[in-house]
Amino acid sequence: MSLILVQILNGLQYGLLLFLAASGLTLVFGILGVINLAHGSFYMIGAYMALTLTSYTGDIFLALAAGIPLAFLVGMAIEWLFVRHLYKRDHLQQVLLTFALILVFNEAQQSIWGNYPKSIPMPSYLSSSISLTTDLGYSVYRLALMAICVGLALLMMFVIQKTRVGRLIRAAESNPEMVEALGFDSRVLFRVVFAAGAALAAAAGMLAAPVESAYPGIGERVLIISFVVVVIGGIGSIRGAFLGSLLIGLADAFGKVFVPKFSSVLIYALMALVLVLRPNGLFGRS
Amino acid sequence: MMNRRRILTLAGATGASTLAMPFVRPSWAQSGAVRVGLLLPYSGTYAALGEAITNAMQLYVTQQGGKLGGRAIEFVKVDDESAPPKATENTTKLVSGEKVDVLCGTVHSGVAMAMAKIARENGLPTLIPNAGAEAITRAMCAPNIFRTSFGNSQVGDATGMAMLKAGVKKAVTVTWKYSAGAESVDGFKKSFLKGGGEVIKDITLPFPDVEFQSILAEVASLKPDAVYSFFAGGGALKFMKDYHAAKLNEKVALWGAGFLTDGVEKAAGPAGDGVKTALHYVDSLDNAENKKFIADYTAAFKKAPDVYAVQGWDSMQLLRVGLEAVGGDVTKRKDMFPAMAKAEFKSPRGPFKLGTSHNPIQNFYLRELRGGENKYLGVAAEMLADDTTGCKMA
Amino acid sequence: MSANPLLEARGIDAFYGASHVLRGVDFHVGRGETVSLLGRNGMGKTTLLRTLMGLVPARGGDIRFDGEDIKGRRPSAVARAGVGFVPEGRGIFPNLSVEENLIFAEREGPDGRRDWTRGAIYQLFPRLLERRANWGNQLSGGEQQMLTIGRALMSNPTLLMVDEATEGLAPMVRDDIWRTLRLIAERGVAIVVVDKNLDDLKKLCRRHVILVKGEVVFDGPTEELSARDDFVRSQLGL
Ligand SMILES: Nc1ncnc2c1ncn2[C@@H]1O[C@H](COP(=O)(O)OP(=O)(O)OP(=O)(O)O)[C@@H](O)[C@H]1O
Ligand SMILES: [Mg+2]
Repeated sequence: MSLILVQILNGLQYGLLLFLAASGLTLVFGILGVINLAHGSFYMIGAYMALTLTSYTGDIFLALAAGIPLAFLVGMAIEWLFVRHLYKRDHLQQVLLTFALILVFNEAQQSIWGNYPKSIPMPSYLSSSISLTTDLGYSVYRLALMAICVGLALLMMFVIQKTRVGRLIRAAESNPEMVEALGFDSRVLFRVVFAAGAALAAAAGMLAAPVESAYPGIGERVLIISFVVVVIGGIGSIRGAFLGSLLIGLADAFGKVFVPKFSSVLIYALMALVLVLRPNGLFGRS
Repeated sequence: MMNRRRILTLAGATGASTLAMPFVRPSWAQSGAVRVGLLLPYSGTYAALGEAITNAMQLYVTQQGGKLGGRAIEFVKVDDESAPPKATENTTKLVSGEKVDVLCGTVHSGVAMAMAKIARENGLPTLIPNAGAEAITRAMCAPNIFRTSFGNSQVGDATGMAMLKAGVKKAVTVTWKYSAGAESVDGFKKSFLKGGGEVIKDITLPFPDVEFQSILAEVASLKPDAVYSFFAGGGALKFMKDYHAAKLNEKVALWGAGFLTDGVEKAAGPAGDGVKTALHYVDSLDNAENKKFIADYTAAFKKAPDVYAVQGWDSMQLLRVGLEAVGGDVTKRKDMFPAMAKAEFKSPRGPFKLGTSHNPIQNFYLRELRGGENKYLGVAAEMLADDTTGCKMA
Repeated sequence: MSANPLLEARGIDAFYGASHVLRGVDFHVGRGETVSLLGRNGMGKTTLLRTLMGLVPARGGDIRFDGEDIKGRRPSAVARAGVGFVPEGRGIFPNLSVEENLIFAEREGPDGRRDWTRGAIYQLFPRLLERRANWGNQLSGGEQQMLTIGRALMSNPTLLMVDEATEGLAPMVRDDIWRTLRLIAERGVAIVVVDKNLDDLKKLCRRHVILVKGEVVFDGPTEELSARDDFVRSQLGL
């Protein structure tokens, strides 16, 4: 397998994981109109939940089964306590409050789990590596991760395209007022969407935990790159988030190897290019 | 005439000093404590380091009965968030706001540089318990600035020696693209190239990016004997795990500056097995200070100390030497600083003394991570000094 | 005015920030009644409909629908009480197909009736059946208008509020819309319609209300509207 094929694989894998994190952000931004800086915190919470829950259940997938509903509940609570007060306010106030949430979550993380990086065990049945080339192995868990991400992406697209909830979400994304005027209580919808976004980010954090580990500040890293994905893909668009994530994943993988001098600015250059060609992002509406 | 003029001068001087009194009270006049300002990361990626440094400093002072040189010690903490843009403001907060007598910080080199700039200007006794930025003890060196940790290139230098000795001929370097990484790689090349080694490629990725997969694929295609790496914290842990999962460790030995493994020995698990590093400390060092230090620290904080704790510990040892030389009067800088510069004491890391530019001259140890512990393999470089290029004191 | 009107609003005040847009408006609609709402641009017609819908908060007065106090209720609660809303500018969901737009609003009426099924809507607007798989934003203006009306009907409302349904449409398409509105009225649905075409409104509605600067200056049957032609024309700027 040539270096190029390996990098395609790496780029896709990174992109798929990014998609999980960014999809929740784009939904919340697109439907609720809230800039949620604390989105990365849910990723962080996911990573640390993976740590704690695997220590009880012994397996990351069992941890995931327990962790996703838990994160959903946390999301509901945060929406009810804080975020719902932001819908009618301007972006500056949203940024202030959600930034404050980051600080609170980080403080909680420090006092519960401490400051040292923590490792989350891989399930033994996936912890081996296969050989890509004679010199390079590839973690089976990463392959499984890709499959799971693809599965979740397909599930998400199915839900959004084919189900009643999905219709609601799409409708709310284009015209939330009309959704309300047709008899749907948008408070409920917004709470569910926010919680779903939180659960998706946490799921990404949990799934990534065995390869990513858990350490302070892990959420902020994801937040920034997720915003880039949202801007590239178009605010509120799941398909856009999917394409944007894969683009960034590939740009990152190839950039680091073929244009290392520019790798740090490459994804931002990509974002700028997309904005010039399509100011509303790949799938954004004006 | 003469008389009148003298009286006037006297009156003026008295007036001036009376006016100045409320602002710059000489600290010996206070019955109070020496205020030590800690500019350290208490949040973010480096929070664990700030915590270890602080713990050790507090432990040392407590063991001395809360006093150094006869004066009580009071710590004033500011979280620097490892954010260089806020560094000047945070330092000023301690220096002008809290009016500390001694400045102590920090982990992040960018923050430390901004802090050192202010320290140089106002001459406050300043201790650097971690940041390895070269300039601090090179071009920016100053009589009042003392480093108790290491210079970035010093660690690379020692690791390069050890790699040569282990028979490595062709190496690839991997690090974050920021000054600490570059300086570390420079230090590595200094000894490695001089000893006949060849560096095939320098690979960098943006700080603090942890997407290593593509880089690992590149390393595999380059087929070096070994990799020299400089990472720390969560990124270091992930690098080792990804390296292992890519099965690179089977063909290409992973080496690094000791920060690669410190603090994440257990977390690395099997992925860390066989990773070799050099550092100025290893917890299995067989000396009395180290054994006592580990025992006391573990008893006090319910976890084992690390190299950062040692550096914090030694910064208090150094401060003690300074304060004892002046009977606790931090304003007697002319006597305090030379005493500190000449200080020699026993550290958990072995013998400690300072070079002409106030950077430690110290042993570097070769360690191998195995079974969640750094095993001591021997001395990689004995009493190694860092370059003093550009330091006018040297 | 019947003894028990379907919708009854009294003394409604509404504001956008500091600007006082509705000033003590009284407005009522009987069961099955068709009422037009007239007025020049910016007089508050849309605001009145939106206030009745709960989309703009009513400051003073009270609003009752079907005997229930609905003032301060969420728009969704007003909708479920039986009010169908066809907003100015149509408010189609562009990223839902025609069929999805309809299914979206599907609900039994407040009286438990399900007169308006997808089949019934397609019968009313055969064009929509042809375009059922198209996205909302792939429709022509007229088709979009049909879809909004059809969508509002899918919730089997007892009152349908239609804001500027014929604006910007070709004359033939307009006629189509008016014809359909009459059909809907014949099925017993009360209708409030905002429009600029006096003649068409006279054919559809039995009562007419004129708003000037947020106040009701006329409220009477078609005969009275015709009788006071000069007054009406001056108020409407015709
Ligand atoms: N969102 C808003 N914010 C502030 N003022 C508004 C808003 N919407 C409408 N207005 C003002 O309120 C007044 C009433 O507007 P409204 O849209 O109700 O008028 P209208 O009778 O429906 O007019 P048109 O025939 O043009 O549709 C106008 O002066 C308008 O400028
Ligand atoms: Mg209007």
